[in-house]
Order: sequence, then C-alpha cells, then structure tokens
Amino acid sequence: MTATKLDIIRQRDSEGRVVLTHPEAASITREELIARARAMIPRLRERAAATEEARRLLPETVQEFTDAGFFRIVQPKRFGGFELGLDVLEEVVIEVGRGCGSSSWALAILGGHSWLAGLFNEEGQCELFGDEGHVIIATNLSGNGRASRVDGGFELSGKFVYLSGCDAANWLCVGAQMQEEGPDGPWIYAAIRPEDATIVDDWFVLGMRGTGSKTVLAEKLFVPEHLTLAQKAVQDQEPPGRYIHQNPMYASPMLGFLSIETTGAAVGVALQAVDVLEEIARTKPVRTRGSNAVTAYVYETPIFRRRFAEARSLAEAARTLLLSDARDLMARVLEYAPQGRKFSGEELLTYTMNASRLVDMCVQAVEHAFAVAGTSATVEGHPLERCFRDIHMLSTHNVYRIDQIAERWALAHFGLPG
Amino acid sequence: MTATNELPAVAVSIDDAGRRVLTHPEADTVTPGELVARATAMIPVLRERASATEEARRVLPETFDDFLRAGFFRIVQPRRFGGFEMDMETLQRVLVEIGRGCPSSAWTLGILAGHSWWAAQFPEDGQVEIYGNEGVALLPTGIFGRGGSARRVEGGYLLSGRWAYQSGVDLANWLGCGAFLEDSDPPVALSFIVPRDDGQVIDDWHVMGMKGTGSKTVTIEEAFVPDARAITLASVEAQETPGSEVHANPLYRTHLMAFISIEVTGAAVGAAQGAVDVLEEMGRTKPVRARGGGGGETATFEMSRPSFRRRLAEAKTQADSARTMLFAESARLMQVSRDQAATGEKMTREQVAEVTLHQARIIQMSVQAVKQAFIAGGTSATAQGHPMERFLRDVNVIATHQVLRLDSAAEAWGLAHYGL
Repeated sequence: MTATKLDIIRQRDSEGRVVLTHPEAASITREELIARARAMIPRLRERAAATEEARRLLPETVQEFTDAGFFRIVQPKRFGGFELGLDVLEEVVIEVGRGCGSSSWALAILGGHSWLAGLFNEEGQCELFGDEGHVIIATNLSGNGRASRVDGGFELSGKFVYLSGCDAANWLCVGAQMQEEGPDGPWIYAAIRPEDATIVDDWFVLGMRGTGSKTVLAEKLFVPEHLTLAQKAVQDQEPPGRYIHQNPMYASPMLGFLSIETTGAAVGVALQAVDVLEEIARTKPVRTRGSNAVTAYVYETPIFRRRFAEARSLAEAARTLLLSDARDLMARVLEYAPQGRKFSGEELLTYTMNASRLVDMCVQAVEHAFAVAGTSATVEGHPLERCFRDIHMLSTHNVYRIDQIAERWALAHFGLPG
Repeated sequence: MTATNELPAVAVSIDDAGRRVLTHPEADTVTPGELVARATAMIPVLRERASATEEARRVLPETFDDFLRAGFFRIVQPRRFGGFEMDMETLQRVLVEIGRGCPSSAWTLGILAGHSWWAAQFPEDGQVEIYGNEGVALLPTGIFGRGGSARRVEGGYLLSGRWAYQSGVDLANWLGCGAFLEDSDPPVALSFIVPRDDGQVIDDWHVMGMKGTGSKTVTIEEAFVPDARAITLASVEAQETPGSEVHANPLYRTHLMAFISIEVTGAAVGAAQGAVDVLEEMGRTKPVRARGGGGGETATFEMSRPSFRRRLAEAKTQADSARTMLFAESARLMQVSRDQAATGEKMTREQVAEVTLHQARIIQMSVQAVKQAFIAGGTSATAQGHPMERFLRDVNVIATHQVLRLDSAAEAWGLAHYGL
C-alpha cells in the first residue's frame, strides 16, 4: 500500500488558533471503525508470524492503521482527531487482537497516546500534532529519567525500557525526575523526537514479540518547556489540555485511562484463541485407537465442547467487563468534569484492579483453548501457541499483576499509607 | 412508601375498549433508582432476619410485607394489570441489594417477581383472573412439562402431578405447573396456572443452603383448569404466546428460557457483594493479636495485614465483575427483545443457550468471590449464623442449580452452537 497524503483541512478559528480537521471527522462512526478493524483480521493473522520475527509492528500494518484512522480515535478533533471515546478505541483494539496480539497492543499504546498529546499546553499540542495531526507516540511514563532545568526548558537524560511501538513512532514521551530537587521532588513527562534518541534492539521475549518494546536512550537532550507536562498536574487531574478541549475526555485521569487502554489486546487475544479453536473443531478428526479411520470431528466430543464453551464464556465476559469499564470511565468524566470533581485514588485503582481481573479471565480462556486443542496447536507459528505465549506475556505487565494492584487498592480503601 | 401498614390500593377501571385496567398509584412516579434505594435500605433488617429466615425455611411474613409495600413484585408486571413494566436490569439491581442482606429472600423475590411476567404470557381472560383486583400474582413454577399430566375435558383440563423445588410457595396465591397432555404423541407440553389452594404443599425443604427459599414440593390431584389459564410450550418456544399479543411492550416477547435464566442470578451476585461487605467490616473491627500476647489491648485490625487486604481486593473485584456482567447481560436481553420485536425475528437456540451460559459464568464469579472472602474471614466467621458462613452455603447451593451449573450450561451451549 502506498502512503496516501491526507487532505487535512487547516484553518484558523475566530481567535486565530490553528484548527486541523480530518476529512472523516464529522462522518466517522464507531461501527465503521469496528468494521475496518474486523476486515483486517485475516491479513493480521497472516502477518502475525512475520511480525513476531521482525519484533516490531510491520510497516504495512502501521500504514493500514494510519489509513483506517485508528491513531486518531481518541485524538482531539481540533488537531485532526475523531475524539471518540476510549470504549471505541477498545472495540477496535479487541478486533485487531483477534488477528495479532502484538499489533493490537502496539495500536492500543500508540492510538491511546494521541489522547496523551491532548493533555499538553497549547503550544505543545500545536507542535506535537504538526500540520497533519499525525501523532504516533511511544511512551515510558514511569519517571526513571533525569531532567535538569536549563534556559527555556529542560535537559533530559536517561534509559527508558519497554517503549512499545517505538519503531513506528514519530514522538517518544518519557518521564524524568528533576535532578535539583532530590528523589522525592517533582518529575515531568517530556516529548522528544525518536531521531534524537537511540533505540536499543533488545526486545527478545517469550511473547508479544511484535510490540517491539525496546529500550530508548537519551543523552543530554534539550526539551523546550512546552513539550513537557508536569507529572503533578497530571496526577492532580489538572493537565493544561483539560482547559483547551471542550470534551471532558481530556480531563480523564491518566491512571484510569491507561489501565483500560491496553487491556483490549488481552481480550482480543482471548477471542482469537476461541476463534482458532472453533476452526480446529470442525476440521480436526478424531481417530479410533489403532486405526486411521476418522470416526468424528472434535466438536462432536463432549469434552471438547465443555472447554470450548468455558473459553468462550470467559473471553466474552472479559469483553463485556472491559467495555463496561471503558464506558463507565467516559460517563464519570462527563459527570465529574463540569463539577470540577476529581477521581479518588481508590476509584482509579478500581479500574486497574478490574483490568487485572479481566486479564486473568483472558489467560484462563486461552488456557482452556490451549488445553483442549492438543499438541498439533503447539507447532511453532500456530496461532494458538502464539496466543498462549502472548497472553502469558501480557499478564506479567505491572498494571495487571493482581498482587500489587490489590494491595494498592486496599491501602487506598482503608486510608492506610503506602 | 406509606407510613401505615396499609398497602397502596390499586385502582380498577375500564378503558375505552371496554378492557379491565388495574393501575398502581405509583405506576407513573416510581423510578428504577427509587426501587433500588428501597432495596438498599432493607439490607440491615434483612441481615438481622437471615437466621430466622433459615430457621423458618421460608421468606418471613414481615419480609414479604416489606417487599409487597415496596412494589418489588410489580417490577416486570404489565402496567395494565397493576405493574411497573420496567425491565430485567431493574429487577436484578433490586435483587443484588436484597441478596446482600439475605440471598434466600432475594432468590424468592426473583422467582415470584419474575413470574408476574410469566403470568402475562397467558390468554387475556386468564390474566384478568390471575391478576385479580389487586394485581398480585405470585406463583412459583414448574413451568415445563415434567412433573404433571393433563387430561382434556370440556372447557379445559384435569391436572394432576408432583412438582419439586417450588421456591416461595408459602407466599404464593397461584401455582405454575407444567404437564404433558395424556395420550399425546408426540408429547404435547402444556403450562398451567392454578389457584394455590388447589395444591398440597409437602414440607420437604431441608438443605445445606438457600434454606429460606422454602422450595418445597407441591402435589395436585385432578384440579380443573380452564383454557384461559393454559398455554402450550410450543407457543412459548415460538415466542408467540397468547399474552404476547395482549401487551405491546417487547418485554413480553422475550424468550422464556432466556428470561428465567437471568431471573434469579442477582441472588448469587448479592451473596458475593454481601460477603465483601462483611469482610470489609471485619477489616475494620476484627482485632489482630500478637502471638503470645494474650487478650490484652490491641492496636491493629485485620486491615493492617497485607494478606487480608489481598483477599478483600480479590473478592471485591470478582463480586463487582459479576455484578457488572449481570447488569450488562440483563440490558442486552432487553435490547434483543426490542430489536426482535421490530424485525419479527426470534431468538435462536444458541442465543438462548448463550444467555444461560453467561449466567453460569456470573454465578461462578460469585462463588469465587465468596470463597476468597470466606478464607480471609477466618474460623470466627464459620460460627453458625455468621453471615459469612451463610453466604458460603448459599452461593454454593445456587451453583448446583440444574440449569445454571456451568457444566450443563456449557454443554447446552456447545450442542446448540454445533447444531447437535
């Protein structure tokens, strides 16, 4: 596919501010986006092995996502986005995950973070979104870089791990601690250009290989003030962008948004395992011991059906729960933002805890599918063995580790320090 | 709610078409939110009565009165016959709250309130009789053919049979009974509604949990049932019951099996939520004593222990997931009914089985939630009459239900999916 130059409409509003309008902004619907994602499933499935091998999102997949508008789903309308809800992004991420878990994860991060760009100040957003409103932002927001104040901005250095999708990105966003003010001092999020940093090719892992979640090194990079966000402002649910866009989505708390963002990939992988099992069911023969005669197909056996139903009900339940939480976050933001009400730590951790719960349901769904499919589905490159590796890999992510999330939620609930 | 013990009077009128209409005084004013708030307000008193309810092996008369006054039995009952004509989600939201106090009472409410919807499937004359002057139609049911046999006689049937597990029969004014038509080949399954006094109740409900549902056996010997209180299961399967023509609301075209699979799930989810409530309280009130420290002053409570907090969080997320899923599935079924009423489509066997499969999943999540809470509750929560040990018994008994068991629901769905 060739890169199509989009006809983004550039205008200035009555206050002289730049406005970018995507030609589909007024007409695009949730249903259309889901249909586009669904249509990609067979191609994504075909490319899944090559994606693993490349250990990154394939360029043709990036192009398809771009053409379909997937990076613009939660992006501000003013800067060329569709400004639909997080629930719509998740529905798309889920469908993509039915084709390729890695591509789905990378899309969730990169597509979700066009929302993050909408939190910066006016000048920052104008630069991030540029002329095309085409932002693909890979991130590590955990704040393990170092920043020092310099004239007009900051000097940034650091080693940042797990930047999913960084090869496809045109921006990187990383967290860094202010050096002058000690370990408990403030920190910032800083947007930098990938070409100014070094990507270390170190993503060799069990599963989700295609996310290309590599390490990024930055050394003494100058970051102008407007390309930074104070972490405190984000934590206090008062980022500058909240006052730039009418849509209260840009007042969403980051922890709530990010906890939900990537979870669609887990649901997609679980549904993919169910899809694959369904295909196996009708084609995999059952042979009588000591004979080559085909006596039945596996779907005709009660044990198979039991596992199949179990896997499906877990995967479907996970989907329902994820979309409910995504809609719930969007509904609450709509309610809270006009009142200036903030989410409590306990409320936010509830989203995270629910996410870890439903990822566990996805793991179980895949395990049921894997267990009943038999050894033939463990052949390298078989979608089911990939689903198995992907879902287990995904479940190790910090956000989904129930032990620590449960503890953080409960401490918040009882008002205990920690 | 009225301050006196008087029940709100239902107004009887005749409409322009000459039809008899019952109107509940709250029919135009009560909201789903108000009904849920009434249920939430009952939790403490239900929890207080839970032991006595178990002992009585039925819903207590005072609880029954509370439910009647709150209008809970009218949630999915037709407006024309004194109901509120709301939806499954509202019924389940109420049930979950009631279940936090007493799962037995919640289950019974789910059955009886749900079956005021079932009565609306019957011929119009039958409905006029069944809902009476008060618009109170409370019937436990053995809806399906098994259990009874019916002989055709002039103007109706002679019905005999024995039906087990008639939850809430002690509160009922009607009975729902399934039977096969005598000498029919292939067998014709019929469903009847007969006056409560036509049946004999056998006091045989002695079980591990859900003791308060009073799910006793009923026998009937040669009771006459007029045609107006009889329908064929074939019309139910086809979603073309006589009653579906009486009421315009697509609610009354919902598939029976799908409807009754959801009907009582709120009791299981309520037990899960209740177990989390109880554990949360223990976190703040149950002291932790240092080993060898005797019974001296304590400075800390269970919530100070990471292991306790871990289990509480796990139980909560399981219970909340079950609740979210239940409400989403309830809303989904109502949407299917509305969509299909517009297109004339019917639910497929697989779609119906899927509804049941999801209910089995929700109940399993509820079981897991209670299990986590129970373990963290420690031995003190196993004392007879402690709500935690009751929730454990209750939710596990629900999970053995023949339709809602995961094994049977999974198999039913798998067979339907593959058309076997």
